[in-house]
Amino acid sequence: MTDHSHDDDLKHADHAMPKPIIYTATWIMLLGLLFVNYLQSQYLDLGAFNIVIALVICLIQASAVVLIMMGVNFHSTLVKFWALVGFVWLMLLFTTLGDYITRHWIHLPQGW
Amino acid sequence: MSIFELQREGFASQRLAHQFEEINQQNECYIVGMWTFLVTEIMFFGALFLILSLYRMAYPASFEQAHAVLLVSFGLTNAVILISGSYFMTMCVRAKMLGDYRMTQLWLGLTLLCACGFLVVKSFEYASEFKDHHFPGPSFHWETTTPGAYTGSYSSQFSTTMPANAVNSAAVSSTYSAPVTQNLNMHKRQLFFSLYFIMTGLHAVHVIIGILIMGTLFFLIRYRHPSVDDYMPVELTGLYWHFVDIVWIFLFPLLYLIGKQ
Repeated sequence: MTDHSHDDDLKHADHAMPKPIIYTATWIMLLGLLFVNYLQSQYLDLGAFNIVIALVICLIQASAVVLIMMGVNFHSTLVKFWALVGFVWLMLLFTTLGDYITRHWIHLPQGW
Repeated sequence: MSIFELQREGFASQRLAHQFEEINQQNECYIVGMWTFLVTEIMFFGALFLILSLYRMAYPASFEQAHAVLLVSFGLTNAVILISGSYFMTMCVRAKMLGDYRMTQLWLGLTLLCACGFLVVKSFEYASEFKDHHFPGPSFHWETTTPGAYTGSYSSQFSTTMPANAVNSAAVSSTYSAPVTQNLNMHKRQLFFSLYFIMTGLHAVHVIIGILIMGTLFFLIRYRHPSVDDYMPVELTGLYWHFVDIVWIFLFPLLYLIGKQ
């Protein structure tokens, strides 16, 4: 029987991670995008595009956090796939909005 | 050397558990397990975001009035705090990977401070909302004089200084008189605040859980406990903390910024 408390069990994984400056740059970018979002909401009225701009900025921020800070970009394909699963679920979930949006496009008879 | 080049050397060694063939498999297993948990969290918060979108589309005017009374300064401060906390956590994971206990403790301490700071700001915000009677229920109250409140044509047709329960008797009217419409609008605004308190409250619960986990880790690292010899507990806590940050990245504009123009 193998004794697993032995120091032979100490291994070096095939790690990979970016230099700290990449993390710092990501942090500054996230704060910058946050203030862009804030300033746009306070001083620039783009009508129906307000929410589009806000969501695009959010998606860029979330992608930066997932890919760089959570390190998905530096992990294996399996981890990348698993991370993607959650966002595919979100997309499927939000397609149900299509039902609510289009429900009154067709005028159905009132019935008896 | 380019700053985009990945660091592959200088990492601390890890102990291989007997059920794994090699250390990379072990690490991948931990991370995939954590991501599975995070996917269930995405489903959980995703459904709440869907409900918010649905009702916002159904009652745009009432929701915009309710959006307008939320104080952006609180939301913005918390967004800065959480994004900074995420950065400190990333640096903490990096320090632990390199086996630098002193720096791990420093970065983890900063992350903990950010988490506590978030709760302090949130408690001030909740206190102000309770004071203004914006918590849904019998005490819910709405006035057009609320600072920053929407004063467009939609709301100006009716007096909006009556408490919600004061106009209940008028709701028996079969026609849509002003008090009845006012009552309906009051219910829609309460619906917004119900969603607001559920979403931000659940997020705050996640922050509290994060504080408990990070606090435990902090002491385990401080006393060099064998369970934190490996960097994985810090890495997995980091993944959780980044998720909490991502939720706020979406909550902030969707609750505080939309409807401010």
